[in-house]
Amino acid sequence: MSEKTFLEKLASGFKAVPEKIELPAIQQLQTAETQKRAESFLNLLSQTHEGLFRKFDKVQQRERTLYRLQENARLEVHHASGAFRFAGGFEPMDRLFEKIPDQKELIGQLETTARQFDFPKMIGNNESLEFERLWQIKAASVSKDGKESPHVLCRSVGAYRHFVNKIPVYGAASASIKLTGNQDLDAFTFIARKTTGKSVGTERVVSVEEGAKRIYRQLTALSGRTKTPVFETASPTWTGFGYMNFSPRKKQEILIPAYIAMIDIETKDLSQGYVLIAPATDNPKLVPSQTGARASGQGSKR
Amino acid sequence: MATFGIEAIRHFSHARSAGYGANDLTYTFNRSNGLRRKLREANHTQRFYWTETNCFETDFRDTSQGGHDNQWTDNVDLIWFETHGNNTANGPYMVFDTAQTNWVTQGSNWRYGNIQLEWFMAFSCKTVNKSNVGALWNIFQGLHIYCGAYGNMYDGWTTEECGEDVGDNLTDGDPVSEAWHDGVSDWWVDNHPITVCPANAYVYNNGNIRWSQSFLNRDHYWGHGTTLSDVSHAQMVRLLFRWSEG
Repeated sequence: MSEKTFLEKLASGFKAVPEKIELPAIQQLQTAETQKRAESFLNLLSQTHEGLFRKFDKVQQRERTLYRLQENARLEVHHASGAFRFAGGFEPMDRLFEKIPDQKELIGQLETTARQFDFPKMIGNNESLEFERLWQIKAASVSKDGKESPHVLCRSVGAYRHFVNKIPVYGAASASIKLTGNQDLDAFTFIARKTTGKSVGTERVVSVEEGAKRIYRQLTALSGRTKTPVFETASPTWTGFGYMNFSPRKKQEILIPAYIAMIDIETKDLSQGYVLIAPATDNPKLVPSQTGARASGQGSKR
Repeated sequence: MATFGIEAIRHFSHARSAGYGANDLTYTFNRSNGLRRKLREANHTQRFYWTETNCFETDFRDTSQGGHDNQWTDNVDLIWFETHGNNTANGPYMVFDTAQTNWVTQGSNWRYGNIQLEWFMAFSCKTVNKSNVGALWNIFQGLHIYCGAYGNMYDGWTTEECGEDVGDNLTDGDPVSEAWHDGVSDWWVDNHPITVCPANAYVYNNGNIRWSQSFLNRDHYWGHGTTLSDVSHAQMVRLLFRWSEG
């Protein structure tokens, strides 16, 4: 693949890119509000679990609050974002599926559970949460000479994507539901950030070609000096345009528009995977940090 | 409480000069710092945290193969290793940014658990070939679980908190296998984690596997639930593995 072809391939993946885009403001939650949100969810869950999760032990830590629940279940809520994760407390190899259903059936089971959570109440106006991807967690055994046992399905996972004004908010799945073989709720994660319904401004979006160039510049910076140009070993496996949701332990005040690409690099020795983001506007205040941390507390030099 | 060690490499300029096609990473230390912080907050003991060119191939190689794993990797309960990887017929294949004494470590030189190691966590791409999981057979010498990936493990803003997530899961009481699967999955990027453990004849049960008694189900980080007894290499009759696909 030539450099030009690589850039064209990147750019062609950016679909439905508007000329201008609004910058939705995100509700800023105090710690007490994140806890209230978590406790509302526990209350909702209790209605379908015979009151099981009404009692809890609440432990407030520096960056999260941990709710220890009956039956070994727990819920954690992150103060910075309000993102929360419920874990049902089942052992991971307990309650396996008796057979592996087809994908349609698994998605149907996940959607039935999703309806119990009433997603529209968990997000703002002009927002939606839509099913995005089915995951399956499976297990098997293998002998020393390579003979495999039949696969068993341990869990199904449904990933959902948050849309604001019909524009996807990318990042980790905005919500996810994990079910056991008898459709008990094994885990539920909700990291979508609710907007205020107001916009802090409107920005012109740079062209898809410029977005591709910005992604490519990052890629070449990571590849440093190398004999083989990176475009010969790299291939975009997914590209998209949308807003960015930061990680659950980070605060975020507005939704930042970005061009995003997942890129695989295969050299003769190694496989590498990157998720790269490029700012989709020329506003310097809308450039997401991508510096990465320095190592902390490592040993002295050998 | 338990001990852990970390080796993490973000920059690969020396490896590239030596002909390895290794690009730099961005969020390596977000992940390794995050795991370190969470385990230390729960009063676990860091034995070492080597980074960049202080990570040596000999730290991973068994003493019987001329390495020093008795001082490092096999001298802690849990090791977190992040670099670029792949697999060969010899099992995992992972690169360093210095040749001390080799540029790469290979699974054929690993023998873990004959001293101490229970859990090996590799945040690297494709360190397990899902069609040849048996290539890991000999690394289990008391090791409980190998946590790796059978596809790429992505470096990006949605995986920067994987270390903290795994650490929280371990210390909140999840079994190690579940802590890994949940902690490194964001259910968006194509991370494909896999956990592999040995099974003795009782657990294998002539093919009617007692999953509930396996390391995958019941083995917790020290102090946060049940930790099962070692399965010696001689007792192994099968490898059990669990993976996320989608």
